[in-house]
Amino acid sequence: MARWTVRGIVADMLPVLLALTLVELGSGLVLDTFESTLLRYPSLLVLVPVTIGMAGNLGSIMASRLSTATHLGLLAFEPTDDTLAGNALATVGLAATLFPLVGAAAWGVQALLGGAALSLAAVVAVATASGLALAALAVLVSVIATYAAYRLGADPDDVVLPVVTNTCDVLGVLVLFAVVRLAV
Amino acid sequence: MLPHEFAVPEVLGEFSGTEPARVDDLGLAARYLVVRDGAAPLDALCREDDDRDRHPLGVVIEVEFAGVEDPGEVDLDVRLLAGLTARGLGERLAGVVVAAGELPAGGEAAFDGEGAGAVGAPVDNKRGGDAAPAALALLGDGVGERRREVVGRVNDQRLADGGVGVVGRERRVDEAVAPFTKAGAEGTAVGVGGHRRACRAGGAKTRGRGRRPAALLPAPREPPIMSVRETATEAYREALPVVAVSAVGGLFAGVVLGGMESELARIPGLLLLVPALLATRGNVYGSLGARLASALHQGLVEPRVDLGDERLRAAVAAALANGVLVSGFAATAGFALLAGLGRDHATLPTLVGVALVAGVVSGLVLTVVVVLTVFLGFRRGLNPDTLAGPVVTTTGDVVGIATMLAAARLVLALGGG
Repeated sequence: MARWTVRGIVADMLPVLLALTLVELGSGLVLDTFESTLLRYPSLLVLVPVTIGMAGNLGSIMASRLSTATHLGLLAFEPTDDTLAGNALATVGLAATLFPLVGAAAWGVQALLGGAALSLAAVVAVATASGLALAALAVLVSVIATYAAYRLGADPDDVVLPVVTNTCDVLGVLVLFAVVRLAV
Repeated sequence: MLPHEFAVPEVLGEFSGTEPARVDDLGLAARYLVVRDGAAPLDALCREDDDRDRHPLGVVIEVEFAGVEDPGEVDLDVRLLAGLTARGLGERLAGVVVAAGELPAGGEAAFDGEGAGAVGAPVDNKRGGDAAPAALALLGDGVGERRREVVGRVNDQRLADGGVGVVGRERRVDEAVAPFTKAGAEGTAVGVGGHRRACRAGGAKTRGRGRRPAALLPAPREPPIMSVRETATEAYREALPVVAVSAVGGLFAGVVLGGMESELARIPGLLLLVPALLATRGNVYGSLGARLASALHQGLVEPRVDLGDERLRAAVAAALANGVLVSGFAATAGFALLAGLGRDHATLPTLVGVALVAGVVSGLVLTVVVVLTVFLGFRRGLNPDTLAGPVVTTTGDVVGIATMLAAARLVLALGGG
């Protein structure tokens, strides 16, 4: 149990928060680098928060399911493990279902508000490609983080979630950047 | 006579009576404590030590033999339990409770959630009849293989007449029981600290409402072994609504961000701050939600908004302080980064001003959202652990971006840029 004084809680959390902020500024720098592209195509700007958020969500859901399975002794860290494979499959499936819709919605909203500069197909393609790449990365990051926590004897619940969420945040921006670079 | 050979090879410490005790007070090097003839309230054992998540108190063995004149005559095998802690399970173990006894009147499980001293009290033991171990409950979060090993070993003990259960401090009871059913153990699972809704599920019985739910679950006999496809389908179905809702939230945030073109163009460097500020909202208020959820499970905080509650006040004040401090830091560091790289940037007061205003306003909004969600959810029997995360990620993005836009407009109107 953590401490329950303001000073105690701040002292516990602030160093981690500051470190994570520096990491997040790294992804901010990537955004800043392609700011002109984003401002030219606002549909892509609309995709930024949702891509970051979904990447973090997919990673954190995968990670918390893996943590629970670890706690229950249901998980073996092998590629053939049913729990592992099933959760990985679900993560990719979620991305494959939702990202095309997100892309279409982002385009639609922008078309309604002020005319979209990119075609519907382009925005959907960018969203889908980013989503699938992110799902694969989210699986990889959460497996590695959970395994590392398990090997180091740390409680995966405490350690894995913040690491996975923030790593996936940064990866979200990087992947979006890479896909936009390639496609637009 | 007990059906199992029980002998105490080595008692590392003894405690009698009903006074709360701390393992530390007893000067035990080992992580466990043997309590004989008398129930030390597990509640008190845990509650006394505010650091129990980091330093779990260990194993409580509680013995109550009906019809035995001198409990000292009865030998209890603690080797199994000692073995568990020695293997490092103790690192994550809150307690082990073993209870043995005859049927209480009525043949029903006596389980009183109010006094956690009743943990592992004699449980229905119809088929055993004699004073077989009625229940073995491992309270705590064993990790992975270790727990699997425990399951196997407990199963080897053939406690089928009684009951076996593993209950994490905040683990759902049905989840906790799964490995045992998988291992083929039969009987009844007993637990505290499980979640109320989970306790109610499957004909579970709950007493001691709210603060410290007690549970009794009939263990299903068919082990739920899930294939890849089943696991994938279950995970997909469970996650889809949450992810879809957060996608909609993210889109709203995106629309606001898309509408911020002119502010983003007028305050160069603002876009750089977007990921850091959004992540801060998630990290700070997500952790506030997790902290309150844990506290509710432990009974440290009551699920009502009471500004006189010191813990609630401290948690909220610390979250606000963290949120604002980190926002200011992000703006300053972002400014330094841009200046260092020679990129286009707004003035330091402009960036810091936007970050601080957005930090304060979004902090107040998110605090209200998190506290209300967690408390109301808990009162309705939802698990605040699973509730807090998605709510924060979804509202955090929308509130975070919207307050950034408002703050940017305010600072621009005041002459920043």
